[in-house]
Amino acid sequence: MANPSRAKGTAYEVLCRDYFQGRGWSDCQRLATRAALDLGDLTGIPRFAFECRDRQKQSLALNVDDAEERARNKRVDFGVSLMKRPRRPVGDSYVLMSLDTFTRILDELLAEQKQLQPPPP
Amino acid sequence: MARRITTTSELGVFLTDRGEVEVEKDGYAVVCPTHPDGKPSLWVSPKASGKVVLHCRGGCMDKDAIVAGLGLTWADLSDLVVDGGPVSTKAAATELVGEDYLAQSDAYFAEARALYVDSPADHYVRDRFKIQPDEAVGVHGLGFDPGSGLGFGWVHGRYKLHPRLVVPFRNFDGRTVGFQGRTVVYEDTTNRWIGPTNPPGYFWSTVGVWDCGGDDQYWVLTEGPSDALTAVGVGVSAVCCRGASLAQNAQTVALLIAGLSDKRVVLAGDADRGGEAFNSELGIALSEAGVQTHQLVYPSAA
Repeated sequence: MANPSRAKGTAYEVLCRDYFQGRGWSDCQRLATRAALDLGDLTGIPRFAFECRDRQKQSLALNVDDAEERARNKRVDFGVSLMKRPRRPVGDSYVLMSLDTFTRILDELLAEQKQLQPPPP
Repeated sequence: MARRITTTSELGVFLTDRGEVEVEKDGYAVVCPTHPDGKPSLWVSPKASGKVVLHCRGGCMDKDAIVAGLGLTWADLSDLVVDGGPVSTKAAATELVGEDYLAQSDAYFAEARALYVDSPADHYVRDRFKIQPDEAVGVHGLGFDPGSGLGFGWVHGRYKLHPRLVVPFRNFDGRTVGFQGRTVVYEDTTNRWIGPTNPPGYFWSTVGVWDCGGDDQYWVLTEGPSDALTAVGVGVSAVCCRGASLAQNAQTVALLIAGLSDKRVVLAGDADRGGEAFNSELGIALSEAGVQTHQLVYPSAA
């Protein structure tokens, strides 16, 4: 691969895929296509779109916008960006998402507890 | 000799201990002991009644040999106490889906077609079958599901794991009555093709028809949609079953006989044991029904 930035990005996608597979998400695969419709970098985990980023200068705004666009393209609920943490193992990566996305995940994870909250005055 | 397996949970432990196994909600896929099996193709499905259904997707028909190959006896697979693990509660499908369900699948196809052009499915079809997007969408109704199921209710969870090429199955009258979806993830090696789940008591068509027109034509009969699209890509009419083992399915055979009765058919099962069984079973059934059949002979690998 001639482009070193691209090689770095691909290597991080592979690390993320292997990490998910190692944690039991055995269907997780890299989604390498040349189609115009960008569905993110990984597939095989339902309802999520993933954008993997390993860049010298990370832009939080760009990363979260891209992740949400991938989720819209993929017609799934949650778009998140996986960001490599320099000099740390892949499991220490950051997961970036909007507060809206985070709250929707919370709603599903903790639906029962939410129903126990007293109604606002 | 005492039975080794008396409960569904014991069956699960036994199969898991044998090696590679995929656990689904209504059964297990394991490596078939009676043919060289690159991936688990033997479906072992315990029923709520305590019976166990065996079905080799590779086309193996000798169930006694399969049971023996698993190291079991039929007694180990009957009258099981249901105490856990996946159990099938599916009602037997007896009728093709009706207009209510077809309206749902029509809406799904419409959305999938709208997403097709320049999608990963489009590139896959152009590369593999040489079918350009105007023909793919306009003539064959191919579509793209980005991996969400697009709100369609009759697909298994595994269907929604990956983006898929959506291949509608038309009947001999041109009505779309089923489909198959193929992953367009190049790394994926399992569950490449998956179809819809059957509504209770009904089944989606197991047969797809591509009529490329022309007089005095031959129809290629394949064991899956990939080979059918290969034929269609070079302008040859094709009919496909959803899999080689459906050559043993009475409903599928009846659909084929009804549609192919006035046509000349070229049997084109794969060059493997499952494909040979496919050609043999359907060749006999179609010939006995008066259909003129021929068999595609593949060049030797040497």
